[in-house]
Amino acid sequence: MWNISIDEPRPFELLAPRTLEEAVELGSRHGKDAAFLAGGCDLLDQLKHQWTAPHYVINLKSIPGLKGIRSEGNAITIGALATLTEVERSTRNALPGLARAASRVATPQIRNTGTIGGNLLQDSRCPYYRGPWYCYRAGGIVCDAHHGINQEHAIFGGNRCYTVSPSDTAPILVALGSEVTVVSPAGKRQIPIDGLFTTPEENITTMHRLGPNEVLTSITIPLRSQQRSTFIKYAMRNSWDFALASAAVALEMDGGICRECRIVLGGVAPAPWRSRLAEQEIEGKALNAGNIESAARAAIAGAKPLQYNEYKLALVKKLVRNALLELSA
Amino acid sequence: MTDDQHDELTRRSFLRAGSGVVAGAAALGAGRYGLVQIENAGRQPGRAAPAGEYAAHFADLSLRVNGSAHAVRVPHHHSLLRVLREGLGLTGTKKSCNLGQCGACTVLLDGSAVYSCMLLALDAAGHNIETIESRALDVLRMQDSFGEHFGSQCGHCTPGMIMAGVGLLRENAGATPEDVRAALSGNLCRCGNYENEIAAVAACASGGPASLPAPAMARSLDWEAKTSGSAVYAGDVGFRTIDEVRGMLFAKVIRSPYALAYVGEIDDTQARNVPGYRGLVSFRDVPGYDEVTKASERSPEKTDRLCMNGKARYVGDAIAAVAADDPDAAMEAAQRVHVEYRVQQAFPDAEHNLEHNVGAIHAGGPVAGFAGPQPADKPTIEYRRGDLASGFRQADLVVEGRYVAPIQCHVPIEPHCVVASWHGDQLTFYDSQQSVFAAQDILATALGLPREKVRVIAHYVGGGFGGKCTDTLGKSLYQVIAALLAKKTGRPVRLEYTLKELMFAEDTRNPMTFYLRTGVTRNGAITALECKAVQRTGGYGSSGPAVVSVAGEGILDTYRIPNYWYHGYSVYTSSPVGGEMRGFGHPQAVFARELHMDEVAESIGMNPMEFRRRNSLHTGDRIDTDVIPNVALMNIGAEECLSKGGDAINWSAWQPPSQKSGRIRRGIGMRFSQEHTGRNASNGLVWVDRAGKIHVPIGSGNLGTNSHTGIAAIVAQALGVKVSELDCTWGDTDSATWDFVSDASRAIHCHGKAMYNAALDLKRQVEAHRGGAPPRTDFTPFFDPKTDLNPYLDETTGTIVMHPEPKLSPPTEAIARRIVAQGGLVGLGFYVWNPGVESWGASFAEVEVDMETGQVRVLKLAAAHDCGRVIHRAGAEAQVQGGGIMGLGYATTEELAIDPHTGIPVNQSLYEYRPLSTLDLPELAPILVEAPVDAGPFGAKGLGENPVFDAAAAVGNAIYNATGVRMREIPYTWPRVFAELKKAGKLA
Repeated sequence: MWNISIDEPRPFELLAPRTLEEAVELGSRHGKDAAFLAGGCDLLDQLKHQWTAPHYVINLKSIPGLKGIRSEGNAITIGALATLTEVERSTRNALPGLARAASRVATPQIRNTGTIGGNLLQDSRCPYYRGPWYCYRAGGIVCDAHHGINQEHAIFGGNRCYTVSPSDTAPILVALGSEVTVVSPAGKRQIPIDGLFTTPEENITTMHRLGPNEVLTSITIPLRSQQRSTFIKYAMRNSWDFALASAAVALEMDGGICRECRIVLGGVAPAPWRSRLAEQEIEGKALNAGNIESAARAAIAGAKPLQYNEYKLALVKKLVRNALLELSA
Repeated sequence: MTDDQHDELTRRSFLRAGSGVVAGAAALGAGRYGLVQIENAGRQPGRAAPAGEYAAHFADLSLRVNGSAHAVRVPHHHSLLRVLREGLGLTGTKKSCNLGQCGACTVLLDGSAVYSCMLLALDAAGHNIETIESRALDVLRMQDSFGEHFGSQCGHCTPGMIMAGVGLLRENAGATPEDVRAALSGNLCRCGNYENEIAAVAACASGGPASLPAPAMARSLDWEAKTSGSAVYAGDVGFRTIDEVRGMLFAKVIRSPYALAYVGEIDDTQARNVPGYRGLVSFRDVPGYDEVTKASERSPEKTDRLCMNGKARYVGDAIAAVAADDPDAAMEAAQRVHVEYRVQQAFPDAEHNLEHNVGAIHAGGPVAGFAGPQPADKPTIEYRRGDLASGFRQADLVVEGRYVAPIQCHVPIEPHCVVASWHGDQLTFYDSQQSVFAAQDILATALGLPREKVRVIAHYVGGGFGGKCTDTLGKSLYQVIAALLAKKTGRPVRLEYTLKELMFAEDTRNPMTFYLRTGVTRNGAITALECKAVQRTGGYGSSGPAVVSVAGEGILDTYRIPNYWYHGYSVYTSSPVGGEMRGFGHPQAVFARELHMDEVAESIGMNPMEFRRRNSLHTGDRIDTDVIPNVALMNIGAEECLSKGGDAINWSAWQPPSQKSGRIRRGIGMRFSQEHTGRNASNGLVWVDRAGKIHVPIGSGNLGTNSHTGIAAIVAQALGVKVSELDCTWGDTDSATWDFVSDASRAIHCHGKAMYNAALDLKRQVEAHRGGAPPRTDFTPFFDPKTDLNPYLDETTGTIVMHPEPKLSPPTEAIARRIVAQGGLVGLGFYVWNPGVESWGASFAEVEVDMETGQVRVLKLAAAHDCGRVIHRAGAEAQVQGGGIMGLGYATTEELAIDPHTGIPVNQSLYEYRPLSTLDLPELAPILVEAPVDAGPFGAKGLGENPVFDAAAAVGNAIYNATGVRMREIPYTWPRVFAELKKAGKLA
């Protein structure tokens, strides 16, 4: 319910499970009448608007072991409740692209409480969806942004809904080939991070594939000795702003030849947008100015801008070019 | 689905309505906005209006705050912020956006800075919490450093800033200024005091002070209160055990979710089930509702707006309000009140409403006039001089342009809050109020009370910018809602805005479109100028008509223009109300005219600086308009502003755009303008008690401009004593000296001069007393007829009063008589606006434009301002910097965007509205120019507003200089600049 005079949550009961099993059991029992609380940056915003008013909030912070960041052989595993500040500080050397992405989220205070799990699973920031409009994503049958104010909406992958993936850490984690661990009543499973996100085509009312009784517990990022990675974000403000567009690139250099290249865009599609066409212009080739420019051009192939967001094409080109130039240096 | 069907659907908007029930789905005319259909409640998705059980869950816990353990019983859903303020009475931590977007509530949790509004109190248990009330040495040191570096303007962001700074230095004792800039990027300061805040933190870093000397004499009068968290703002009243206000209730306003709708039945049956619910008032309870609304629909009336309205004219218009024992119950009750709306088609477009003479918003017509609604063919204001047609015939070239300025939101860091408290028939308001005496008058009138029955107290105001100036009946008058609820319930009632209410239910800066046409000769003389201004004033006039008039001054009063015609239309639109905001029409007008004058200069191939010099008014030139009759301009520092500002940006290296090439291009641009300082009259009163203590009851508001610090310095200087010897007070209609309002850059100049005159009078009174003279019986205030007695405009009647009688206002005379009766000596002063006093300014921007993406980076903003005489340098520079940053936001990021189909604001959060942070600033170079005038105290003129004009035109002209493409609409955002470059075929 949209009411501009409301800025505190409707009363809820804060449940404090001690184990993951207990948490998913509570999720199963209460379904959509409960929400999982991690850092709270997105959830409390929604609760304070009373857009949702569940009777139960399940506090994941009461469960030990969801926080740490540890190196295990050729991988780094980040607990879903690790704060963005912790992620930034502990990955600066091993995964500079991820550290940079974490450092570009919102503000120092939000990075001190906001978690990487929450950053990945945050809901759409489309102002129409978060406002009083009865849009597709809110269960209605129109997209108000499509014929309204859509400077910040999708140029790729829009399908009835044109929201964009707001996460800064998602593109780089996809580019790095991460896997996430999810606990559900059926047990624990590990899935490629690409599989975490969904699109309007598949399910227009959610940004991710987790059910109300599933908890993201950790993210595992493989470490490759030859790998280079980076992340660049363009936003209107340099603080507390979502990306108009961002690019994450990870690749390996093998005797001057580029291998295992992944180019992933944020802020331009309903999910992190892997630009395979751009990757093809680089994969198995030298990372020279000509190939980089071809990749930058390929990155916007197939884009379908709306009335006011054609500038995002230019942003994407520049992002991909600058990210690849940075890695070629 | 076919494309046509999809198209049909996508042109329809459906709303998830608020608490209201829509009576009969209103299918609205297609019009030019496409079909807008509002579904009835039965088809609304999501949770139905809440009903049934409503109860909080509580937990007993121990919170460790500033080293002490506090046993508290807290509801599960309460944030740490609420428990600190409401539960523990620690009101130093401020509530502002309440959504983790501004940083005002920053505290330390185990040493790390966090937003306490976004942390559940339960999650803070077991952690070490530190607030501004901490007595830790590094916190105290930081507080002192903020005092030393003029780290607070309004002070409402200060506690959060200080805690963020302490948090940084705990982790990084040797932080560099750049580290500090990053660490403070989660704390917004709407006063734009960032450079001082950064300097204050950096000075506490090891090795800091040597590299960052504090400005001399920087401390403001009230730095200790503002930096320690002990300053009490309206929102802090009633939470501490020492407060006079006890047992207050909490109000919530029920606001229309529709842009235009008639209100039918209002039913609070479901709300009555909420424990702690105390009652409802609606538009039907507003005094004079029947007379005023009927009158304003039919014929001109003093106000077209009440504090609550039976016809909602914008999204957020107040309909009714509830009060309850606590904020949660008030919100729950507000959600449960059913309101029946008959929804009408929205009319958000001013030019459409003017063209079609739309009477749907106000029956009298689409134009807001000074006397109420009027038809489309009647402009709100016209100014004419000479013979326009012959002026254009004399021109060699005529240049035309259309310029568009958006809605800007004030978003002070303190949201409006009022506590209304009755004692018998006496009513006290603790208010977020920049002008206590104007508010006293207006609120008394609105409630039908004698003025002396109403007291307004506002000791600390967390930023005003014109948004907290209750000076006409057409303002929102949320205070009256609280008073009505307090009367009904017999308890004090507190009403505080949410961020969204602050952003667009309250007044905003009027969006305006200007059509300018200027004739010029080949040698650079302006021969004629025509300007049509169309202003979206929103659902109500508020200050719109006055703003469109003052915008005319902004267009006309900088250059010698022999023939002109300005016709301004303040137009009703079903969108947020445009009231007054820092600059009052000038930011819009100066932006438009100064872009236009660059185009005029270019048309004859003249350097923009030379063109401005060629046409500028000079000291002694006479202004003679309907508003300002035949007055000579007093000393103006225009030329010095041009030359010093030009030097700061290296204007001599200016090259036309044809000389620029490449993908990344740089350019410089300028703006030049003036503003009349002040309006209307001020009283002055300074007195000495029997013990010899000197008392200075300052009348101007404490909204962050620190005018009280300047006025104290003026009085001290006039009396030949130290500021520390003065007892300065302010912000209470019972004890302060009457002043007209605290806006229009008038505090130092107008009230300062009246207080200066009072100080001179006091010296004479003291001498007379020593000579054995009896106590004074004549309470005529002192003034100097050579400098101080001038024609002025009575804004309520629109007439010019040539020689107003120097006379104290009744409340000040009463205070003076009381002082004398008690054996004190009182000095009395008077001052009235002199329209020959003008503050001039010139600003210069350097930008870098990426021709591929349209990204604009402002590299430098150099602003030279003539303020007559610098009274308090740190404060004056802070006004230039802070105003410059507010103007830079206006130029580059800030625009409240309205959905064209529903009239609903789209970007309703700070992260979407984008006020600038510490990380978004160019190099700022404030230059203070002193061209003193006899009329001002020690020569001082106004300074508070002019800096807001610095950026928009200068940056726009710099973008043109870099790209060769004119940007005639602000803000110059990435998408907008890209679109203009593309349209011009200039994309790289």
